[in-house]
Amino acid sequence: MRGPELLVKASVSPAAVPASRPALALLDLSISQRLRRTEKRLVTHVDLEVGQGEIVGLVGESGSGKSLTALACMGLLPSGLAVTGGDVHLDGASLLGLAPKAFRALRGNAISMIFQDPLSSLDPCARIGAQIIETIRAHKDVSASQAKRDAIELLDRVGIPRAAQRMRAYPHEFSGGMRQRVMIAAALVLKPRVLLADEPTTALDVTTQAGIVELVRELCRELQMSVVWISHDLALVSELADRVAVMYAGEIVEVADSKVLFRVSRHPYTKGLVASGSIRPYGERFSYIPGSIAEPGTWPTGCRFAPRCERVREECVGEHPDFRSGTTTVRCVNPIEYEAE
Amino acid sequence: MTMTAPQIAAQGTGLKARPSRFLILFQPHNLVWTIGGVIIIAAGILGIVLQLVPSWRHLYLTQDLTATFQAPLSTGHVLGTDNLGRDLLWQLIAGLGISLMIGIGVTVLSLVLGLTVGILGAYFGRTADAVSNVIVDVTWAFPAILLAVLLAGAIGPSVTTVVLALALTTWPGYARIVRGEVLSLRERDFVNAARVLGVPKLVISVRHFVVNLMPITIVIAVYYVATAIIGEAGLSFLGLGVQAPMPSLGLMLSVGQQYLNVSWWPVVLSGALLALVVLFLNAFGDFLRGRLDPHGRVPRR
Amino acid sequence: MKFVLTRLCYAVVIIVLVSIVTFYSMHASPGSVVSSVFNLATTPHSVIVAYERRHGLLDPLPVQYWHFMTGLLSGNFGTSLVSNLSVKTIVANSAGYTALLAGSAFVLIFGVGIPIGVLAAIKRDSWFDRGVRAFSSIVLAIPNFVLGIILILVLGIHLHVLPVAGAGSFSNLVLPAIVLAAAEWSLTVRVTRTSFLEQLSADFTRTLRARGVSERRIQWRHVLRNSMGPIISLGIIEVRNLLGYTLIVEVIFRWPGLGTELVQSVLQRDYDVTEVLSLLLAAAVVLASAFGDIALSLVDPRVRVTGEHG
Repeated sequence: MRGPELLVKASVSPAAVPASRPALALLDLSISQRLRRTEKRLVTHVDLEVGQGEIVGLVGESGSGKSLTALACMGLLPSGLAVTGGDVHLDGASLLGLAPKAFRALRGNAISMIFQDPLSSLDPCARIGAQIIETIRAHKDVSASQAKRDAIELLDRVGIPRAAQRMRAYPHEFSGGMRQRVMIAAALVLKPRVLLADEPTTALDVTTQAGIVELVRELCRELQMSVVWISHDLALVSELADRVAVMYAGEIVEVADSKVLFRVSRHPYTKGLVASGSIRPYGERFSYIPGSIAEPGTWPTGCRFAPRCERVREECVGEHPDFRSGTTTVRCVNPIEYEAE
Repeated sequence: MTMTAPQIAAQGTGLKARPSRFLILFQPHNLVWTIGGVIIIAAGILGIVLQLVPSWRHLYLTQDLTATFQAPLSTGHVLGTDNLGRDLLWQLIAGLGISLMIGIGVTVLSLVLGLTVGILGAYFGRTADAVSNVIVDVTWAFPAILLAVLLAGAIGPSVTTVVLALALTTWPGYARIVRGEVLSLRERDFVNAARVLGVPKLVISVRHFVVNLMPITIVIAVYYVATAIIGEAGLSFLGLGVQAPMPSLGLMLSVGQQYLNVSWWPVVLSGALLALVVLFLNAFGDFLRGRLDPHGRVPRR
Repeated sequence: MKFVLTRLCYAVVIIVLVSIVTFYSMHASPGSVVSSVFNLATTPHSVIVAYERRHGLLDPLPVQYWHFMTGLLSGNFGTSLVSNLSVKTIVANSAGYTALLAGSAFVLIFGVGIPIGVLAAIKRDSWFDRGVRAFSSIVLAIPNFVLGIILILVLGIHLHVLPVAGAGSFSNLVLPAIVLAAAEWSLTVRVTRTSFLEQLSADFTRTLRARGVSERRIQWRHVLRNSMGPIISLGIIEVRNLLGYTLIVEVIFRWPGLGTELVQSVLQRDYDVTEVLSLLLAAAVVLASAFGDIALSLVDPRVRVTGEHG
């Protein structure tokens, strides 16, 4: 396992690594679904490092494996799925080698995660105060009143008005945005080093979205916390994140500084994403990427995007492309090149 | 592609039965169930025939006080004899016939009642809905056995009493399902289309609601027959149902219990037959449910 | 609030309806209590008429009903025409036994059924789970009176382990309680298992795991509470059935409770006894449903707002 890791590392250009020491590092991570005889590969050889206090966006269509990657970091893959290669390091220490109990001690404490739908992601039958206090008491041996004070303080911090009273409320009594704030509070109450955010604003309307994005940005700065923000919305991510990694069919196809990536996307897929997401003048046709993402198990051996790519060449279908450095690090044999500005 | 209203309206009608799917009944792992079911049904039909042909009744009614409590496989009685020396096998077959007749009667009655009240409630205005809801809720809260016991006490124990008492207590469950289904059906395009075309409510009810409710109704009917058979046996066991000399599994249990010290097979045989029939009907219901009710609208037994 | 009022109205309607149905079905029926009291073939007609007049049996039915209900409301429960005991005495003698029997069955159904259902769900597809499922579907197919007789036969008559009739000691209670509980126990185990599995895969369990909450706490605290809705909804129906089945089970085991008295009074047309006992039973059912509804709203806060589940 050490061997390929070093190899892949060597092929990653400077743009793909964070400026500071990585808090979270995904090393050659692969995830598969175990079938009766074979296994179906869902995520392959993902390398990603997230520096301390850095926000990294992980972007891709649904089915690209971005949520699975995050769940694997938490050790929470659905049953039937397993990490089949690589490792995840938190502050330089292996997570996936941990015993279940030791891993649990880190979840919610050192590494935390928030999810897409805040209504179904909170226990509908438990008061929100209790849900936050429960997180504290699962990790720290503090008094109930101290835990309650901490919870109120954090609810107040994430912008819940009259936090002390709202502790006794149930999730269904909140609006979508407020619920997501509660979920953030419950995830961050122990000031984790890393937050994985799995499309936390997708279920919200646009104005509420902005508030949540702003909140996460602030908390990230305050707590010196690393964030992996998963989204299919490239525009949102490039505005929030320091760096962006684009996933397609279970692998990262392009990594770059977010400002750079949005402007000069070299992978045809990223280019397509940028084009389909941007606002166009009235009357101009929306651009979209033809075809749909290949199902796991039916990935072509060559470039997995080749069947949908308009820049496809003969060598694309043969060998699986490796990373190339440049203005962005890109997994493409024929990346789009831009004239120097 | 747009459809005209009559085309949409035509969509909703008709059962999409796929007979080929029922071929799995003959696959090896289902074969035991299928064979068992065929035997039970055949015995039940034979039992019903016994009731309809008076000259055959001697088969289970003939007493022989010199040969009471014979054990199975002795003296020419395959399953032995009871306290009056009557043949147990024929008693069981005849009892099963009565059970099935009562079960089917109860089911038909409560399905008709449930269908009517359910559709009335869901499709014929708020007042009808309120009234039918109260009736359904009140009946629902009434313990079935108590009502049956009272009715049996009121009109005297008989087959009619049993059918009435059981039907009156089982229909609300079906009425609730019907109401729920019609509430969602009436918003569907083909119903709206039919209404726009001026089809009367009664015709819509029969042509669209009843027809579309058929699959789940068939499933429920099978469960209801099982429930009613248990109910009949229970009432007869208490002395409030079928009266001797008419054969009944519940009656056999009740009489058998008194002679438990002398011979146990009448009780065990009738109890086992009862349990097997119910087990088979429930399994058959589950099987149909898998085929006819893919969305799980019928509560499982 | 509106929800509570509606339930209350239903409760009253149900009880009044039960009283009317009971009263009319008993009195309007052919055959009369006099046939239980006198030998009709040998007793002079004048004696019977005098008897009927004395007990108000010749009044028009609405008048009799009015007398019965006003008497009931003023605390006069009437007298058994067969045994001459006051109905109050009969109730006082038998209600405790029925409460004991039904209470024990209740504990078996929910106190034992729910934990076993949860364990089966947690150990899904294990031998324990398969065993529980197979056992529950067999038990479910055996009507309780059949089960009762078979247990009497095996445990009582052949093995002499447990007494088969009567009341008085704990060992007398075991068989009737098991028989009364069996079918509903199976249903509870099944619904608990299904509902628990459904909630176990709900999104919120993932969130709890992501916050490091222990699996045991997630299961027994969060998932169990969330899966209680269907269990309680079914429980309300089960308690109704349970109270009904006491009639049968008490008769099988000669348990001297309300059920035995009720069945006997129906067969003898002992009007007052039947009426009071049915009303008691109906009131118990109504009360149980009300408690069930309250439990439902305690368990799931969303019910409190809408007044309906889900």
